[in-house]
Amino acid sequence: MTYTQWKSPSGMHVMMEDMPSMVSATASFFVLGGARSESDKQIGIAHALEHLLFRGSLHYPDGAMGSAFAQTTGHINAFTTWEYTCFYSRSIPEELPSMFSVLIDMLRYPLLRTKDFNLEQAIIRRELSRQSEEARSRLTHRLHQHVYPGRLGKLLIGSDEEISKMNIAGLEDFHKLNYIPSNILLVISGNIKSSKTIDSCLQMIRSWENTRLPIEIEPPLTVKPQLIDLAQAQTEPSYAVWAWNLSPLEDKHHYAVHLLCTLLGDDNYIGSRFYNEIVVSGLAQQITCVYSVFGGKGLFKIYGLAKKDQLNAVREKILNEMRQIAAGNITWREYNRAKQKVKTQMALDASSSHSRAVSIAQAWMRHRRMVTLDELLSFIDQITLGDLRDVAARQFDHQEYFEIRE
Amino acid sequence: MDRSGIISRRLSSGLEIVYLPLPGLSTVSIGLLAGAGTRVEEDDEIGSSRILEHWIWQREPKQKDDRKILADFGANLKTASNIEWTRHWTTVLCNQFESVFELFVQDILKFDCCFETFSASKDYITSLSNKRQREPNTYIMDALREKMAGGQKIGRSAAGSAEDMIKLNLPKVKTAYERLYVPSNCVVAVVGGISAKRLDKLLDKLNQIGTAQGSRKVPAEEFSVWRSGVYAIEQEGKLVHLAAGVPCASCAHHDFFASAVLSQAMGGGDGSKLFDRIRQKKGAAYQVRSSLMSFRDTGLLTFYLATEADFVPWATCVIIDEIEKIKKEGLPEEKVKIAKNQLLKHMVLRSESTASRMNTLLTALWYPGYPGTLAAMKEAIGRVTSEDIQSTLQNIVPATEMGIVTLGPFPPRRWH
Repeated sequence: MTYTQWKSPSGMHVMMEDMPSMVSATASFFVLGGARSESDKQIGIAHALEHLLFRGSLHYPDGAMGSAFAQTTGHINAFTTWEYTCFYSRSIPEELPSMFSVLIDMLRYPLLRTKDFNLEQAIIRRELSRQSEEARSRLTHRLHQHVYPGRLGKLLIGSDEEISKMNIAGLEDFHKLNYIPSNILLVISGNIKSSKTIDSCLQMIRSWENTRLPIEIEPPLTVKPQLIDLAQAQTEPSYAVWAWNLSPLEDKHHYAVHLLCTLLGDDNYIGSRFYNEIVVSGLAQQITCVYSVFGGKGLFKIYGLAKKDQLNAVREKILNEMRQIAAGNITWREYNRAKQKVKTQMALDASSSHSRAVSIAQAWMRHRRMVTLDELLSFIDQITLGDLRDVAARQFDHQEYFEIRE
Repeated sequence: MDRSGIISRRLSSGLEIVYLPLPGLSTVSIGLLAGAGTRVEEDDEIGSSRILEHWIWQREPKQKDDRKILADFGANLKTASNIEWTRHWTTVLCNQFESVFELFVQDILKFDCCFETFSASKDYITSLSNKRQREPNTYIMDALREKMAGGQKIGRSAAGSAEDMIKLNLPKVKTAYERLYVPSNCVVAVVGGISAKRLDKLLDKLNQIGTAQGSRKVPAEEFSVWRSGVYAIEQEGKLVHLAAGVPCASCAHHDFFASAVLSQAMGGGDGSKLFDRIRQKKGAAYQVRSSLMSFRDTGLLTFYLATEADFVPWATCVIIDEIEKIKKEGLPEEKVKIAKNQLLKHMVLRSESTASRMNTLLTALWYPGYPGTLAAMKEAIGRVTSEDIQSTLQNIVPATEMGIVTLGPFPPRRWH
């Protein structure tokens, strides 16, 4: 694999990774204007804009879902997160330039028509209704509501009322402020060496100038941990989430927390600490750990699924294991197992041009530079059992945690 | 099945293993499909396959000793099931292949039906079955098949029902394991970056895995089993989930790919007829899709969307209208070309994943006639014509042969 990274004259960060064994090539634009960039009056706009950009642009007025694109081998898709909105194409390498020109047109010259907006508003409302039917999605939102008093505490796509209040002018403003080269990260990954016209893609971004300066986002506010029992629903089994706020971590400890997450409760079927100690015995049906970082601040979440009358026992068991971990009780076998799992997962992420692009962008968010797969693997390799015990002792040697039940 | 590029070997135990080498890749996927599903279970065994799918991997007493388990090699373990089979698969770095392959196959075929973990597995699977009933988009598809099957085995839920699971005990599930998880009722596929020589050397060593016994457990044929009808399952909520189905070709039928192209043209995403009319032009739903539920001897072409109660009759009419149009006028060649191209696109892009290619191989091994390689699939899709698509619909009268189920705030009286 070969890597390239550079910055366009207008400030766009460009990273390319050639993966010769891939059948596809992916071009991904990460607009660093996700839901966290919205003001109080703009809630849901980043996601609504993502929808509307597919409805038409200056040179492709029928949009990227129109029949003109159905004959290509590739497809264009997008998703909105708290930190960024990603628009990407995945196709055979020969079609990369044509997909690229559609993406650029969508991002630079969207038509943002009222009739399209009205349709998308209705679709987003139905998307919200679907989300509210998913227990884990409800639980995560309720956790965020209590952990983050600012924008992160509200729904990423907005509430029904907030979706209704949006208007085209608001979308235009958000677009002008965020969809500028210096606020965009471009990742091209996959079998790109065989794409002879990659230069034409890069030419398209050279002419794209900044119209405004990028904005800085404040780090999220967090509050003191608390226990919240929302147990209104009488459903069996029940969901719960326990969460710890983490202080900002240097790289070594950041990757150590990732490793700890896998060691304690990855989404693999077998072999994690919580799985062996809590799931196999039948106390809980599922225990999964998730580590997320917003604006440099980490949140360590443990999701549990168990019978309602067993949730207290599950919590006690989890807290006991966290105390054990903080006291340094981690075995060599667990440590090596977690390392092997993380390395396999990294190799799996690198086995598709699109998932690799997302991994590259996520590493960029932290390091502000291209991080190769070998480098990522070496970060993991360098973590010692001592580092793992150290970070566990520092971050989990206290009783302050959030608990949300449904 | 097409076998170009594929190496095949049958062990003395009767276990068939196929391998597709992909030089240069750093990972390898190993999968085992067992002919274990609710459709081949006896009446007092219903749900056993689903419990086994989970229970097989519960070896807690052994985890405390020095014996290595798949997790020690970083293996990423997955399972899935439908009413005719259960799949187990793992993807691992190539340098771990031999150890993982040996463990993986032996763990499944030499499972000791661990007494200590049975109850926890049964409880877990029962709770998942309950949970599935609260996931409307999956539950409604189960309900559609159950209603259209009219009480026959093909209508059983792959996830099993809590009612059936409660009746199960260890001896019953063990009996199902001993009958269904025999080498002759399983197939193994390996796809990834290891050489054929490496696999051969390993298979020489493992030639005696399992014992030769039994034969494939194929479900009894139930041609023309599907029954039409309209059903409303009322529950609170904002959205009404709507599922509809019409009979279509089985996995190995010569019309299978014509049905697949039809499904793509109807509700396969961007540019498809239902997506365009219901989502893009009306904004009436976030998700609109069609898909094939195909089995050994029959299948269903299904449609799904979630919308508000007032849109349900209209959306149902749109589905019927589009089927009728294609039946009478056929699909324009241009639309057929687009749908074929989109299907191929999905297959080509999916082929980057070793797990996806391995699963295609397992399907081809299990359903004779199903193409196992990308080239064979391209050929099968390439042959589909507008006439083929029209003929797959010719015997279907949507108004009388369609099954429709709604789930949500939509009372049955509204169908009248």
